[in-house]
Amino acid sequence: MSVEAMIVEAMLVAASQVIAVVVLLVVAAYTVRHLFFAQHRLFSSPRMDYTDLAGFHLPSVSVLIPMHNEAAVAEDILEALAEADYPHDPDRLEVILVDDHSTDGTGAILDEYAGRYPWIKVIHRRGGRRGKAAALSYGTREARGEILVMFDADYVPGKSLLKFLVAPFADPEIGAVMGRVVPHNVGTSLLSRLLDLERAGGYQIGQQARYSLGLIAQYGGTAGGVRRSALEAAGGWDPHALTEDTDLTLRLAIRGWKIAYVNRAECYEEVPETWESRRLQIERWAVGHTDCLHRHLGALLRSPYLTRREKWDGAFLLGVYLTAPLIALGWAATAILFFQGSSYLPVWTPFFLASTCCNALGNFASFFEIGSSVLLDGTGRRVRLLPLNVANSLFSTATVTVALGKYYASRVGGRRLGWSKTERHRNGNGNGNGNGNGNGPANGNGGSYANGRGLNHIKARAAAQGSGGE
Amino acid sequence: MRRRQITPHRSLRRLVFRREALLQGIAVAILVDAALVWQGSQVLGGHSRVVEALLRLAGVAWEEGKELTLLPGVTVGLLSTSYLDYQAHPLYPWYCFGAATALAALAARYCPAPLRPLLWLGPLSLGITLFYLAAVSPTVPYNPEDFATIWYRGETYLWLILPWIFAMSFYALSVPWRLKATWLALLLLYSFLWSAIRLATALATFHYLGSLWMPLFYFVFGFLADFLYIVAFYSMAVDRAAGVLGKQQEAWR
Repeated sequence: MSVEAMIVEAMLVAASQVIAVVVLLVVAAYTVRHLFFAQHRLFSSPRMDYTDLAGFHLPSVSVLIPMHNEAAVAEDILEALAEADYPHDPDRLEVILVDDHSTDGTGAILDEYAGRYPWIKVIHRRGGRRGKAAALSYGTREARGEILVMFDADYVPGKSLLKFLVAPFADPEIGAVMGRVVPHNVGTSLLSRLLDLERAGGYQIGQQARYSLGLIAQYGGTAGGVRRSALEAAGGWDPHALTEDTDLTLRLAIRGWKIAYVNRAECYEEVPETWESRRLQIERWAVGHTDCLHRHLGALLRSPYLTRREKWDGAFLLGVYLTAPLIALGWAATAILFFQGSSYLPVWTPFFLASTCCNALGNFASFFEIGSSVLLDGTGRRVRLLPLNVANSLFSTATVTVALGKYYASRVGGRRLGWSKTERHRNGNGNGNGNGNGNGPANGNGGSYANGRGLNHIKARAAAQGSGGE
Repeated sequence: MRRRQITPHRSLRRLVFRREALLQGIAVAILVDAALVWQGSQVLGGHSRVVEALLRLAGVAWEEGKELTLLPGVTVGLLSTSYLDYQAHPLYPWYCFGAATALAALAARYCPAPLRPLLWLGPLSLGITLFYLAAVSPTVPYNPEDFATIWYRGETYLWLILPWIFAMSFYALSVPWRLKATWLALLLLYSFLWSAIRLATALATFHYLGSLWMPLFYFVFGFLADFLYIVAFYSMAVDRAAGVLGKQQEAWR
């Protein structure tokens, strides 16, 4: 071997060792965070300081629902809102439906409902910038409510969601409130079952623990509300944001507004049923979230309104998607060290033990989070699918790594990535991959839903799952 | 302004924390680790006997290899086996890679979607090793005895860690002691047997098909497989625990 080759090999090995150790440290930090959250949530009383006000603090609310080609699901959410136990007095509740360049008959459905209920308003957008944030901006201008509550069209709010969700706004420091999202289409595919576990861990443990610990709970963009004055103080919706929810969370927190999480305010969601739609969803989240990291991390760390703990945890929250490429890098480094012969060295054994099995300890912490949520929810049987989430983790790691690769390439090239709408499957009417730039085909290909879907079916499923009865 | 009645969640607000449950877990972890260190040589000797029996079943000859010291006072005699020499069979690695890829492609058609990435880990690791053998060195840097050394090190550390993982994640729950002890015992037993089966399979594979398969057994059938059964046991234990906890009225406070 030539001297140059030996130098290159030595440098490669040294770099791999550094990368491997850095990855392990980062994963270890997230491990500690997740383990702490899970233990805290399991054994400490959750913070539920506004629950008693539910039904007593009833501010004027504007519900905003952006809709782009949502004919398959539009009726369900409107029927659910009609059944909500919030006063349907037009001065107290208005529902603003923003028909955002729909081409599948969504507009006609919305008009029909507006004719039926005086508290429903419809805005048909046929020009201007497309996408959720732009539609929300438009709807916000029309809204008269003190509190804005946002839903994606495929969500079905529980009967008492609104009153639980707006109760924390009695506290003038609260800028936004987030409710718990529960999948209603569990059982339609293996993926939806796995995502049900993931959501349970994320909300029942992650969100509630962050809120209980006085850290930054995340406003999630749907099944959440924001105080109009807080939104205006934070600069309104950013039409360029791919994840307007994370963007708003950060802008509110940086300016000193508090964000509350209400585990009791449950909203039922249609999670992706196909791996392709899941891939698109993760890509959008990863890119949007990481974009927020670049835009807000500095301001977050400098904010005079946040404690050191909140800043640290906020940084962890923003950097969460970067762990995927880091883990991939860790695998590459581990492979290089294996072929170089380092596995044989006792000093590296603990490292290999921790990192080569896809960062087992770090991953186990997130599995522990899911297991803990199942214990709290009393939904034992479904947790048997937990081992399959290892495969789900691999899938997510690969998807996020590729998505962030594209994102950084686009940043270098000065381009902006587009927004892709999540596929809907309800009512036997998979409405295709409308890409958010309009013209999403309504292919009506039957999706994976059988007959008998719809609001009643969703409610029956939600009740059967034991997720917070009304 | 307080409501007379608050509709409860169906989910528990919190679980009852009993310090003695956590202490019990820590005590069990210490005891299990102490027993493993005290009886380590016998345990690993038993592991070696299982591997020998399986190798005999597979028709693989072995010799007594060097003695490996894993912890102070804990040693294991390694088994020395041969592996297929690719110098004499230069096309074998290519055959293996091709066959594994074809098999993965076939299996991927019938396999549930989330398992497909796992399926492709096989061809991926074989492909990377093939590249290494073709471009960097004609042999991987380990012989089967080295592989067994790495294996025993990793598994021993894992057996020492397992009771602590269970102590932190499961023992702290207010469920009957028998339930916790049963699941930990089952996990350790499974871990021991599954480790011996995988090591014997790895050595037999190297004997018949060569060192191309070494990274696959190290990365996928090694630590990843360990991780999978840990999660599987944890999930089954949680399933049982959820049933017990749901019946405890005190947990609703």
